[in-house]
Amino acid sequence: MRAYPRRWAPVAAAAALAAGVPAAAVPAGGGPAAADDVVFPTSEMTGLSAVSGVVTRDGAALPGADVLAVAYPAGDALDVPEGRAVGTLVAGAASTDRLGRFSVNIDPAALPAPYAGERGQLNLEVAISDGAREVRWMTTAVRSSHARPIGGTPARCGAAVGRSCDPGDPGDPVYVVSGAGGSERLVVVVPTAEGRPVVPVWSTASSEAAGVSVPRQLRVDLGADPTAADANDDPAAWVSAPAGEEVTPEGEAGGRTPPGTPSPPPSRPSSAPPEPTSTPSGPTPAPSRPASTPSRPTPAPSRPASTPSRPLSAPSPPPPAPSRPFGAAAAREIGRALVTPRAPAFPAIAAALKDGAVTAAQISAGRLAAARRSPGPCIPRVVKRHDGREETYMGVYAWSGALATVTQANGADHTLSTGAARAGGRWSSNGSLTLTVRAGDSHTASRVADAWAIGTVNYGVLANGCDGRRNLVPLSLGDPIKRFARAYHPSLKAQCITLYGHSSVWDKDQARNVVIGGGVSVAGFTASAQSGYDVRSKLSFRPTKLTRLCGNRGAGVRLSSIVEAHKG
Amino acid sequence: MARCLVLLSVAACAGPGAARNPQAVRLIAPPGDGGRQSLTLRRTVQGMPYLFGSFAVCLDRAGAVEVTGVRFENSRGGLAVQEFALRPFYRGFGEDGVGWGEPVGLRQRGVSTASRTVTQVCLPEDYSRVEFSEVVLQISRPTATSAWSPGFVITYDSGGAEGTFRIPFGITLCAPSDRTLPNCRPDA
Repeated sequence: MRAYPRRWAPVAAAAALAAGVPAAAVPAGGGPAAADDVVFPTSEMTGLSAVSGVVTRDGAALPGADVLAVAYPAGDALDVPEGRAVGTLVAGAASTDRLGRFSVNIDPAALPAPYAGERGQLNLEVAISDGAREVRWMTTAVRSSHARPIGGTPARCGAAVGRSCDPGDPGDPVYVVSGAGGSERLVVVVPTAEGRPVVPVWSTASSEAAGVSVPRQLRVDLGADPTAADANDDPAAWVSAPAGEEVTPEGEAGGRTPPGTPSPPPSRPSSAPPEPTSTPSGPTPAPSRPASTPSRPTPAPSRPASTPSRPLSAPSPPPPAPSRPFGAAAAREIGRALVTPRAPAFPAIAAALKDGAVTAAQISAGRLAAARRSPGPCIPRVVKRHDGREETYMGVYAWSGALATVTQANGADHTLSTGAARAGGRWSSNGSLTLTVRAGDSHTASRVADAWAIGTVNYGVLANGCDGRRNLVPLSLGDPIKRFARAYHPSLKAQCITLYGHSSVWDKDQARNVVIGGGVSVAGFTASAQSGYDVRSKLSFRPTKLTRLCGNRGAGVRLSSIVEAHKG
Repeated sequence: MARCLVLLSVAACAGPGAARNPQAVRLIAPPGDGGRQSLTLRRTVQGMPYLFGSFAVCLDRAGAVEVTGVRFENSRGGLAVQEFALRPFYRGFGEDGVGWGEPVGLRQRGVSTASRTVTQVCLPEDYSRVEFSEVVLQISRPTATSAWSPGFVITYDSGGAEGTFRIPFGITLCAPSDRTLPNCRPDA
């Protein structure tokens, strides 16, 4: 562990803060550094690192930036009623080293009970400050389940890293870790001490679904055009989910709704697909539940088996647009970070460090949470709940001759983006939290074809008690399979494999699902949604007729994140 | 900047020899995120060959490796690789990959088993060009019981160092008289 002197704190920004002017209005990077009394220990990546990352200013490494990890309650404790405060706790701190790198260590044993979920999940708001300005990122650290070490063997750029591999730029990969499938790669942007392998205690739901444990890796730029991004989640690859009319699975299982009589299989629209939308607005927002809907909505009554999805006399709606990747332009917009003045928690923890109320060793060992320090007087409060919002999280591209089974068992993870309020009632994306399907909400729907799986999630607007800063945060999941909406086949042709009727079963698990951009629409914010495939969340096809199984990768269905089945 | 700053973690799929020698060319899979997949053939005939192909492999840098064997790991019911083949591709599979569960042998299918060398280099996923080698397995269920494996391991020689690469693709061949495996059950 090393401590670096503060070198970066624009005088102009500090003066503006003193005058009560929002720091976001101050030009970044101007003027010499000002004195800053906040210096936390630096750390390479260790086994206890819950979040690591690289901080830059206009692309140049930013040494001496400060990072605080504030824990939010986990599990049911986060499902706070409207009007109630959300108790938070400072769980970790770090400063960036000379290359702008940081790792926040958190010992799970130091966390009080409300801050650890059933499986040890830890919700964090990570604040990154250059002394005057601050960006925040929300994330859930989950306990790792794969004992593969990170670090060690020297390698080189190549297929594993990609075109951008030019180590030396801040934020470039230091390690690349292969997923269980052997082909998915996750990057680590901070080295371990002297390259010694470490087995991470913390991971993310996304990397766990890929069969590997990698803690959250952030890239943050505090320059003129502030950005914050997850190094392992490129929004350019998020896909839109334009949903069509409601469809009814041909049967359901799981004890939630009785099996139904088969309904006519959805047919592929014969007309050409409409042009995709060019903006990341996601699907047309589904009708929202009234605000009075309880936070754990009861499952919708199942449709009578003989009732069609829509009246036969109704005109056919136009087919939904195909799902499309967001692309680079939308990704840049999503990556823009809201900058606010530095929170009082930074000097408060620094003062505690100076006074000896907490120690550098305590911070380095990840035991800051044991000191039970609140981030200060600025307690977030749930000022508005948006319950029962529909979450589109999985595209099921099947056909009547190869119907799919969707499983959402107890503990299935859903990662939903969070928003930070901007001026004019708009929201900026600022990370995500991972929620899990609760016991009793397990659900399996079989005989599904051509559909987006839609569940419900309960969001809340959290307002900071001091500065009024507002965050839009998912508080709990409701029904994991509320309904299905018609999805248009992506018409994948990169590779197709023939499966014969009644002779085969195809299963997929231990994989990251695509991120559905605009998977949730709430209070004017289009949040993204992702559910991984694992033993708790599966997708299976059981062809009864000759079927073509097609993937989105030229290197094969086996390496494809999106797979569709259609008539053979 | 020196490219040696990039380090690769200990990969689960890398074999011990090649992994220990950082100079050795390694066999890996092209970029992708298909996760763990499995295929069950619910009706199979004892002793009949079945082909499973469309498994892409390539090298982590320019060079060549010699594939010396392919075997199932943790198999049940005697699931065995009878033969294997390697076919070079310099474009996506399209319609040309060997499918999953074709009830023929490699020779009947016209797939040569002569090549044992992989020279195709993996390219980053944002490249428009792709090149890889397809691994095709000829497998069979040798007994009257259902056979299963969660994946197979490719063994190769890279400049004198032995390496292994695991492909986590589960294969189940159901026997009519043995419905003990989950996907072989009538209600599955």
